[in-house]
Amino acid sequence: MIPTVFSARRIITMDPSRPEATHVMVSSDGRILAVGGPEEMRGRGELRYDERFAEKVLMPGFVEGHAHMMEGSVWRFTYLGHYDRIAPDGRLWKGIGSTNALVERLRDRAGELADGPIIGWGFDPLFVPGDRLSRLDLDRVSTTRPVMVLHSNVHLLTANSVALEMAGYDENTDIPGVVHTEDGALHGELQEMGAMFPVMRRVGASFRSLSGDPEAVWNFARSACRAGVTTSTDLLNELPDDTLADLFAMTGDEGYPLRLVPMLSAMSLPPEAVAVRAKELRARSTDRLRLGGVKIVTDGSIQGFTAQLNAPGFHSGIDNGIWNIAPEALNTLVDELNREGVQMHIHVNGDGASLAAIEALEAALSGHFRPDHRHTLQHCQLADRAQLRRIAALQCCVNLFANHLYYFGDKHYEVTVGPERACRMNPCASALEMGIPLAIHSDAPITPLAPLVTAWCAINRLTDSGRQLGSSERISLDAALNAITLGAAYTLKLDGELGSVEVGKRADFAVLEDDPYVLGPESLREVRVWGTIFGGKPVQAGSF
Amino acid sequence: MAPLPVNILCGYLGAGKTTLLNRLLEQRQERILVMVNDFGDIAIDVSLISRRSADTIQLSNGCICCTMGGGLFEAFERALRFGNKVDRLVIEASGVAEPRRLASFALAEPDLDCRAVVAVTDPQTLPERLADPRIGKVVESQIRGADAVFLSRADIASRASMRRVARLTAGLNPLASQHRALDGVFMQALAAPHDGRSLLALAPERDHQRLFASRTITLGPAPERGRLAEIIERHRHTVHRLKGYVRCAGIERPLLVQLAGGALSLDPAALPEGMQVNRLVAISPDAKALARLEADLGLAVA
Repeated sequence: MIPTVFSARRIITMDPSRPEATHVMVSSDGRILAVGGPEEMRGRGELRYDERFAEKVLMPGFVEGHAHMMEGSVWRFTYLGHYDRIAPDGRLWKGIGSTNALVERLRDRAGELADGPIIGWGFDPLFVPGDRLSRLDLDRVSTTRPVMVLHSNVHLLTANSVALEMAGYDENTDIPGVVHTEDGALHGELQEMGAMFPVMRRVGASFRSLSGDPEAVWNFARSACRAGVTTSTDLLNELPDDTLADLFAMTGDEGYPLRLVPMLSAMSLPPEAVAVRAKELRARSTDRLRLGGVKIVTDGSIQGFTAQLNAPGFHSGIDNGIWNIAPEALNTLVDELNREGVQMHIHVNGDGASLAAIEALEAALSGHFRPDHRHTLQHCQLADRAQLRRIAALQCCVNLFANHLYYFGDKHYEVTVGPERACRMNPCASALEMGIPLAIHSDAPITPLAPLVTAWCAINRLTDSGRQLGSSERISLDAALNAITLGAAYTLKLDGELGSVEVGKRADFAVLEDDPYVLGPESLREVRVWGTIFGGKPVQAGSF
Repeated sequence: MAPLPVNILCGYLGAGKTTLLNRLLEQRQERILVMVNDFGDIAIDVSLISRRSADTIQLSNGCICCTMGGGLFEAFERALRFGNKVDRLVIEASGVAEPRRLASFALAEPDLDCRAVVAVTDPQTLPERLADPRIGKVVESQIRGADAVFLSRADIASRASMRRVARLTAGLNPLASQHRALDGVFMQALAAPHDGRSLLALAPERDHQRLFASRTITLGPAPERGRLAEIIERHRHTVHRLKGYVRCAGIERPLLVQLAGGALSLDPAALPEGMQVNRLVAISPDAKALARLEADLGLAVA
């Protein structure tokens, strides 16, 4: 089989011993054979030259260290969010700025779809002026079909009269979370899961339907390709046998262009069974389905006021802090997994949660120190420098939620945690200064899957309104690009195999129309992505 | 099809939820479907549950926006698919679950019928749990959200700790009945409907969902039984709930005075240790109705 040589305007390798190149030789089985200039592409006999990227820029395929398969499935519903967003099929959905625009879009979609429910997602009333979206607005979409709008925080929904009637709700309903207007009629807004459940169940929009069916798994790869991503996590999956069989089948398809890293939910099994299952899964990994990691969820979210915050707590709003696992149970689980040599990714949003995780890891690692464990704190948005020093001492990694700075930054500054903490949240510079291995992420579909945008967020720390949150926590372009390639690969223990352009590594590349160094750090998010090269094979965005 | 009755057992790790659940299952009076809301608990939790008389649904805990898992939704969907093959659904909540979140499913879903929420507490550790800055709030919310409080390990806990915990829990939630054994009284409490509205009225924090008001009414010494009953009866349609222990003139034992579901009862009862006598807690959607009740009681029996 003849190796292929790709040439490019520039290849940013992320390998400090050879930061730049113009040519890369890849084998037919998808490994890098040579990196350098034209003269260095020799010694392998006959070569095939592929010049199609001669005017483009290659980087190692981006690694999304924290995203969810739901990014692939949620698009079966209609997008109603504030920010412009591109669906896996390439369709641009403009942000929704008014109730009329929302009604119009749902009406259009009602026409496009066959009969059945009309369901929207991603709606954020804070960005829509005027009266709060109500049943009567959605009755303008349809008076014969159920219409349901899921809010972006996923704790609220608004339903039309048909949908409310299906759930048996009427003006006499006296149930917490079912909102009435002042004159006693149903408003249409339903608050919290309990009140939402009867509608979602009957409308056919359960969260179960948002798990990874074949279309979702392919859509996920489509979204990834558009963003130059060749490796992505699916950071919480119960991984039952039937799901696993589907994932093996789909990622085994010759044309599937994404290395998928699903993390086993530690809450899906009794604690003593988690390590056994994780190790069993690890042994079954393939080149495109990487198994063996475990995810633990401790608290909720900051914007949902469900994070665990240390004193003084939330800046304003009601503290609804939740634990998804009791701190004592976390200690037991972390100790067990560490002892069994299973790598953990621990969701910690608030500083109370990161403290609980740090304490659990300190206890576990004191009992059984494992070199190179790479236990990773995910989100870790509010850890202060004292906590970071302890994280550094434990040799843990952090995967910080840099996208929050842009997408939720104004809210954090004004409402949730206040100016001081908002200006030090997701402290990328401090983490690097202390030598903590760093990745940054999107948590797609919570925010869009686009590592270059995530890197832009970490570099500039600008909010949607243009406010800069803590200039001292900004990081350099080099550091940010590292965090979305090698840095993220490191947190997945895949840095020996991908994340940089080096001989012997997988031939996975992001193909860029623009050079990040020419556009510069302020404009990084404008870099256009052509697609990827996956295992040596070019895959253009939108081509599958 | 009649809606499926649901009971929720909550309580922190090691409080005795599983022991209570097993003893309920051992009674084998009904076909019980069990939902275990957590694996993050102690390692032995699930294996401890006797499987003889119940089907068990296991679900992982979690808030959807935060975990992206649909565990709770899916578990309720599965439970509902059992239809009339079971008589009761008992949810053993995770140690860190707030009962209000779980109860809201059973309250809203027309195919479910939300019955008593039970907070299980371990008298030996409860004070310590409540004082723990990390989980004190959750443990408190479990007691405040319950219709009944079950004090476990009554056989081994010291009298002093039982007394202390009885007082602590009554202070947090004066409406909840207290139980120390799985007896007929407890089974009756289990069958009663969940009264989330009244419990919410006692919550200390401001809550925009709170529609009921509460008022604590202190009676003068030794009111007359008939007169007391008569006055409360008069307010039966405006006062949603009322509870308290009263020492009436000429009656040796204290009376447990309760108004629930429009029915008033005044039954002789042992005064729980640490419980203050002649003090009534009343709940109503109408704060003015409570003021009128207090005025009537004050004039008549003070």
